[in-house]
Amino acid sequence: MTPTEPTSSRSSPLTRVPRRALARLDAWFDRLYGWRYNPLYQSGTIAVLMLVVLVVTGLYLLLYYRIGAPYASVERIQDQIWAGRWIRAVHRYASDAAMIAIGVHALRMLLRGRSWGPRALAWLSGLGLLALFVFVALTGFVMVWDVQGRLLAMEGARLLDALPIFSEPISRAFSGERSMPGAFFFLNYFLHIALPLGMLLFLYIHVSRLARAKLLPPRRLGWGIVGVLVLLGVVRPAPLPPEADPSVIAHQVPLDWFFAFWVPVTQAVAPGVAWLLAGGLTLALVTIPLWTQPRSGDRPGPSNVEERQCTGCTQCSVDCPYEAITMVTRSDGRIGLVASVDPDLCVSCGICAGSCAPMSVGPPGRTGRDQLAQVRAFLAEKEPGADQVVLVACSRGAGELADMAEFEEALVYPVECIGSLHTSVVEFLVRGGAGGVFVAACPERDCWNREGTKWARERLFADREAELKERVDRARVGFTEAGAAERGGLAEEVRDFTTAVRRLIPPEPEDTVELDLDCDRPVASSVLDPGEADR
Amino acid sequence: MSGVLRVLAATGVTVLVAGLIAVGSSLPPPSEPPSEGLLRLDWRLRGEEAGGCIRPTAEELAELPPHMRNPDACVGGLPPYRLRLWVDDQLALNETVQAGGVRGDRPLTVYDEVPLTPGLRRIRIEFAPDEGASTGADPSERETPETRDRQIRLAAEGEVQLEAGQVILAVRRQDTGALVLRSPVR
Ligand code: HEM
Ligand code: SF4
Ligand code: SF4
Repeated sequence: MTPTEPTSSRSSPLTRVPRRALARLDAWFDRLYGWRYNPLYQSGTIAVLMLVVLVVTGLYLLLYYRIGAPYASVERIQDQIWAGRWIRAVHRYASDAAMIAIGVHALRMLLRGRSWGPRALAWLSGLGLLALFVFVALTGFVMVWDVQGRLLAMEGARLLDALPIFSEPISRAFSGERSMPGAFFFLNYFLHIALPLGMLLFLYIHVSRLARAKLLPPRRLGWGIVGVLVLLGVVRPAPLPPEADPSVIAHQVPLDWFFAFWVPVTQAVAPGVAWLLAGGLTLALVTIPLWTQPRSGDRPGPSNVEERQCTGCTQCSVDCPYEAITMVTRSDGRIGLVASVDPDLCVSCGICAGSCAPMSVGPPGRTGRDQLAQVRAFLAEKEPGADQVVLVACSRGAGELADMAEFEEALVYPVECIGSLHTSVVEFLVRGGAGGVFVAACPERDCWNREGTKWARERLFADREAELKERVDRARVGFTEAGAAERGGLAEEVRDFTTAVRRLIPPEPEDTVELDLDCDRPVASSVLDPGEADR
Repeated sequence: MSGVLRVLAATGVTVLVAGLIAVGSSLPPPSEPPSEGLLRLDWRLRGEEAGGCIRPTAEELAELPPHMRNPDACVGGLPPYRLRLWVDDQLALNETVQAGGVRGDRPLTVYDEVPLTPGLRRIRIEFAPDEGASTGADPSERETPETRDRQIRLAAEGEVQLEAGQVILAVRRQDTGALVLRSPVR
């Protein structure tokens, strides 16, 4: 009948507990900040924002940084009470905040099962971004040439010396035999400026498969975060530890744990062991797309297009969040274009199924036509009365109700992604006798398929193709956004909606529901047999 | 949750994360202050000083592709040196140092750190050709008495007053090349 457990949660029992914990945290943050400004949902865009802040503050710091006198020049910056001091602090804290954001972002992607299939490119380029970012930050610490900068450089050199790369140990550069050569600081400075450009390239690859990639958080949240960082920078300027000194054994060196977390580990073990650990961790992270993907039998197939029914309206290619659909010349002799799905890009989200009025596209078993067959079977089995509400809920979020037959007296109708829901299903339910249909989507920025919530809302209430037809009484259709752990709030909304529906004049159920499957954007050559949907 | 409570809790969480950033961005790991001093040995000996590198023979050159035939190239076999360190007349280090590089044609490098008990320490270092060891590449028939004569020996001796946590260097003087004990420079 209807899809039940989503593919992601079936895949890995190991992630179930942390996934639940994340859902709880999400719910909690939703209550505190509201879903729109929940920073947990915005972790990727916050990371981008932090990179922007780093570039802006970095440009100021560059004006005063001197390769010939690194520490003294940072001391000078630190002495500028009205600008340099807090700008340096914001530069430092923004990099730390970026690490938190990247960590949350990557963990979310992992726990929510968005790390395999066509998403593997984003996963791998994300790792590249992370590695580059950490390296750039480390060069930043070395630029200061305080005790931490020296410690990081020496520890890095010690590890590199364990590899058969250099004929002489590069650690010698830091022995104190002579003053640090300017060439070292120049190279370090160069890397600190040049590698962020490499990050831009990785970021481009990272979001290259996404349509309308969201790169920045909502303005209020963005400014709020920047404001907090500035305030923090003013209240607690970034400390400037003592200058690097090779004549003493480094002790009580203050570390930035967001980047130097590895130092105590590598100091405690032999370099060979440190490399083994690093290699093992890298291998584990890089192969995550392999071991998080569902077994081949459970993997959903890519979307298909039924050329005979496709009118070439282009809506599915617009709505696909992964740019997997292009319009190509028809092969059936008719004039015009037909949709074509690239199976390598398709994540089987089903959003195209919800976008297509004539129901000619969608993953196997989830096209509009399949959905009609499912809703028919559902109506026949459950026979909802006029005082009853059908709760159409995304099985990945929205209280995770997929296993329940009823919730707050409402009949549960789970769908894999709310964006894949064809509005005809809603029409069918209302006209088939249900008192009302309450649609529960995931919070918009947490949609597993990025844009499902947004498109569903627009299709139901803002006339987006394939829109819910005007003849459906909107008083009988409700919509909300709820995370996986937000059953409490959802229950309240369902109860309120049910109460409101019961106050309406009961509808007459129609024995045979005729649907109008024409697009608002018909294409001249299109031919669709109106009875086809029912076959 | 009432509106005021919500704002308070949201502010609290924000302050907590900001605090985490402030603290986490500059925190020394727990550690004991160092109880020892450190002697850092750091020098290198170029091929000419170590007895010159071994040149390829005419047959070896002929085996190479024409563009790689360089009669002045080293084919390795810089003689190994022996490093010996005495602290207060106790032998603290006694090891063979081989030339660097895959073919053993790079300079001999010493880079080591030896912990020392604080106080007045008598230090003696010797760095001399290791008569007993083989060169690795060892085409010894090509070792002429002249190259042996050119091998230099380094030695340093002195007393240093060392505090816990202090670092002292054994390095070569840049002008004379002699081995000396001195403080590091910034
Ligand atoms: C500097 C570091 C990073 C930045 C700035 C960043 C930013 C972003 C942004 C802006 C998006 C698009 C969000 C959207 O429009 O839906 C995204 C998607 C994604 N990120 Fe990252 N990211 C970073 C690191 C990572 C890391 C370390 C990983 C995992 C190892 C990762 C995994 C992903 C995945 C899998 C997606 C695609 C989600 C999907 O296709 O549904 N990212 N990232
Ligand atoms: S008719 Fe359907 S499949 Fe064809 S282009 Fe339009 S939305 Fe896509
Ligand atoms: S299922 Fe449809 S909308 Fe989703 S990625 Fe595939 S083609 Fe695009």
